[in-house]
Amino acid sequence: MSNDFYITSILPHAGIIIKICRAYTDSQEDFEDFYQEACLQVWKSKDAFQEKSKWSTWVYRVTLNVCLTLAKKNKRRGYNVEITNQREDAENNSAFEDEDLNLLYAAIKKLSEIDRTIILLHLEENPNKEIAVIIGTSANNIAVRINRIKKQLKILLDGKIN
Amino acid sequence: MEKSIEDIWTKGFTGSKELVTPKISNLYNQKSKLLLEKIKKTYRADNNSILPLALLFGIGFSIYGKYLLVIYGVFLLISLYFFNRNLLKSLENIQVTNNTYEYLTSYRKKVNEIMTTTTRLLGFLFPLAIIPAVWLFFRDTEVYMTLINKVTTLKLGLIISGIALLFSILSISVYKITTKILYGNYLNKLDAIIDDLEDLNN
Repeated sequence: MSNDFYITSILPHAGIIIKICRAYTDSQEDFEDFYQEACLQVWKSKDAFQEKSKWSTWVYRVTLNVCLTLAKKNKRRGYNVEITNQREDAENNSAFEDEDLNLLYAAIKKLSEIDRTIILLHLEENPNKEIAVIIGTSANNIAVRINRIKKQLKILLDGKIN
Repeated sequence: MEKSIEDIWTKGFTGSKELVTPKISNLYNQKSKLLLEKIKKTYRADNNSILPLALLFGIGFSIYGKYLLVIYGVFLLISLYFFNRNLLKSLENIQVTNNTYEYLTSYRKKVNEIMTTTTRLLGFLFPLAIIPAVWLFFRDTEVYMTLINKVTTLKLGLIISGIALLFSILSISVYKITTKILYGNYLNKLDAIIDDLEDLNN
């Protein structure tokens, strides 16, 4: 991956890559691995980008796919649940300076993988239509699902946020 | 007033500290370590399989009373085991430098050297070593006696050369096929990582 490509095509979208990777990892080490793999895959897949969508949408898609694949791989490797939970407790609470954001992330991580993807895209202000294209469903379904996810998050966050 | 999740999200990421990108360094370290470990593990298992083979060989020909052949064959197989073990040590002795690219290219070079050495061993030394084994197997048989009495030295030489050539071709082919099956995938991945790193350096 050339430095120029990283600076011009990946760095402007690093924010979303970081946000997505944080939602699928429990430790700083995993987060950095996921981030690096996502950047690598974005670079590798650049020739497959056909400009039918925005470059940022392409970056979302690739990052999501990388995170889902790596998360599944980690699960399959059978990481010790106890250790993961301990790490999760220790590191989730300090991933961000904003306490509410830490809690929101903890709640997002409790959602199913697909719901996680949808809410992340929604929070990044992607229109339902675009989310629908990425997920492969209709915009109406996405709207309904977002409402459900929000309710679920509110229950998960109940009492923890003002 | 209750905050919406959108508010938490937007406010939470307002500070630039939250979105500091991790350094893209040692990109392939973890990936390549895993891959090299797999190659070593396969090589170790591959070599260890010689030991039960030697045992089977020993038991098998002992039943037929071919004790000299047993000693000779087991000696050859055990030598091959130790020879391979030394080759594996040479892989492990490659200095792990901070530079992943240099490490991986040294590793690949070493793997190539091992493959060339093994091919030569199987192509030249193995047929030479197998001829005495064939002789030890047939020396008391009628076939052998007939051959010695009826066939001229020249013809005998040609037959021996033919057997050696046949074993040479056979063993190299078997080695190439098993290498492809056991290591092909790993080596392709290793080459892909080296290619990526070369691209990165350019």
